[in-house]
Amino acid sequence: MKPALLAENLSYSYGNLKAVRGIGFQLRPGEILGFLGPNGAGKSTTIKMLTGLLTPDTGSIHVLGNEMSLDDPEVQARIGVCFEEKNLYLNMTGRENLIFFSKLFGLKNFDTDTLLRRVDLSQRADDRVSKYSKGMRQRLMMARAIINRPDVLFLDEPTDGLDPVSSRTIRNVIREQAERGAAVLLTTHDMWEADELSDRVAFLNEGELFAVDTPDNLKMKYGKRSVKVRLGSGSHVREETIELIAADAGDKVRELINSHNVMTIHTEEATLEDIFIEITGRGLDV
Amino acid sequence: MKRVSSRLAIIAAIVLKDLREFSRDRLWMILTPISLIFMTVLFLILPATVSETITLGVYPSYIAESFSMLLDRAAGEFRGLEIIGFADENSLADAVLSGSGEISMGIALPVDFTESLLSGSVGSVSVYVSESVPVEIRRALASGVREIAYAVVAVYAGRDPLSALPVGLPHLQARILGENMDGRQVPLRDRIRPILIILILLIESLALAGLVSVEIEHRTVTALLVTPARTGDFLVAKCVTGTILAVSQAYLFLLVTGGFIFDWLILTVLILLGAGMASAVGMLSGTSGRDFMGTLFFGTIFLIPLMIPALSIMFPGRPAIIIRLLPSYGLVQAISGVLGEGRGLRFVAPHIMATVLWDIVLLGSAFFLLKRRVESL
Repeated sequence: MKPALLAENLSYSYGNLKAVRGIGFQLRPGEILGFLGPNGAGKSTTIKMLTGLLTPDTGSIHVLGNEMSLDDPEVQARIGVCFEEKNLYLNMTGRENLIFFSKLFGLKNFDTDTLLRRVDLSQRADDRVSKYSKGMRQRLMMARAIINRPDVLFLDEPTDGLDPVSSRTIRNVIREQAERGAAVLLTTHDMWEADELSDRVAFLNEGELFAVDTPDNLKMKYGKRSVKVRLGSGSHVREETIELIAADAGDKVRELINSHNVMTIHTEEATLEDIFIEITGRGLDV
Repeated sequence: MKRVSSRLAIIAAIVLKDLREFSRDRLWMILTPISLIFMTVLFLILPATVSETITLGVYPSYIAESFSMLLDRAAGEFRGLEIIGFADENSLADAVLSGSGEISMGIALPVDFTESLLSGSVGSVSVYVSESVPVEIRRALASGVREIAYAVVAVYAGRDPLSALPVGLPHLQARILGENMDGRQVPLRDRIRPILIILILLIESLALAGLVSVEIEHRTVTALLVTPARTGDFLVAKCVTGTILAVSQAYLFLLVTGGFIFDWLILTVLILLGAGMASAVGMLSGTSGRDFMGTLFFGTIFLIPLMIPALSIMFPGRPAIIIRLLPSYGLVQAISGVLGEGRGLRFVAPHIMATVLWDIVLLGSAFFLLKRRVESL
């Protein structure tokens, strides 16, 4: 299958500061790729290059086979971008913001109501955006990003600092877009979100790409394969850890269960954050 | 491939969005009508005519007749001086001191002035001037009184008053350098109208600066650029918005103040050129400022030099070379020529050319700097 997005050897520097160092990856239609990295890792710079806002120092970007360029409206018409900054027109209503962008995409008789309903903003559609909460603004940003039913969707920290309800709405929209066939590039420093949404994740640190794989593969590769069993009766409680790679692991688990003293059994699966720290040597909250 | 909007449709969408944002901005929605009303009222309360006659009050009243006769004899030199006789000296003094402007100056001669002079005595003459009359004029008036005294004496002696002096007077010929505006002086309101138009254009440049700086500050322009809209569309749209704002208000002002009785086609060209300049200034200010205060600061920095040529037309004489080199000089001269003096294309053509060149320079600079700023976000 032809990749929806193909990035090869991308580099970008702000003066002497190398923000992105020769990264490359591809994104298939319908796939969600989570870009995980701490603040300053180069996620936003990468998104700016991928959307044409920055010209890479080296490398190339192809969107659906076409070279990415700000001056190519044909390519721009096929992408959607949700920025980290809430760059909305505050003196206009939510509906007016969407209608304006629909005109830029040349959409005739655009149905704003359906889109506003999808992001739970239909009740406040005709209020000025300046009166919206942070979560409402972010949902409107999301609606704006998908206004043209993009083939490639770039989302820069779409749920950062949002309330659980807004976050859930946005995550549902992201899944729907991927199911529709859109390739989604999602940058986040929320490992839980990346794990839940992404088909594959990429670890970005100090401008370098460290790993690109499915969360399960990464966990298998870097995580511990073990279960922790809590046993006990009354006030006497003990824990036992069983390595699943051991040849007699199955027998040990069965034996414990048969003892009728098992209180809980937990897998000791590594989180993406654990793996990130293991690979890059630093945490995601830095 | 997906359908893509035409460039024109994109520019139109951005312009309409800008106008909507402008209409929602409380500051400009208050400031714009207030400034427009203020300028219109200022224009309407200023004098619409210029009095080219100086009224001289004289006592005793029978002297007025002699004065008038003298003036008629020397019409070329004394035109514009009207003599009014007063029945008593106190009335004359009161008329001058009332400050109404009807009697600019007064001369009171003693009742026996002629007899005194003819008998060889030294007469005494009172000259009344209001406190606002400059000292140079007072001195000139004193000299004039002496001349008049000789002339009056000559009349009563039955001699020609213009050759009453013991020496012959040289022939005088007044040569006016520049255009002789005698009889068609520009009233104050017409003199100030170009200033007001330039002010309207430049105030609107601040509104555009606000729109530009908000796009940059809130990074909404970044959202535009990841759609089929290009940087060029954004720049053109901003220029069109600035032009619409400036032209509409300048037109409104001209309509209310009767400016279109002059050559409306030339005026339209001039206003469009002025609006282009205002748009350039707006974009430059909006690009330079980081926030509202910064934009206002840079806007003022740009506006002051552009206002200087407009203010200079209030003063007689040719402005200094540095003023003539300012971008708005040609525009101000052309608008002033059309609105104040009813000039035609021959007069305004070189000024239009100069303004077109300045518009190209300013808009080019504004486009370049704004493009760089937008693409660096």
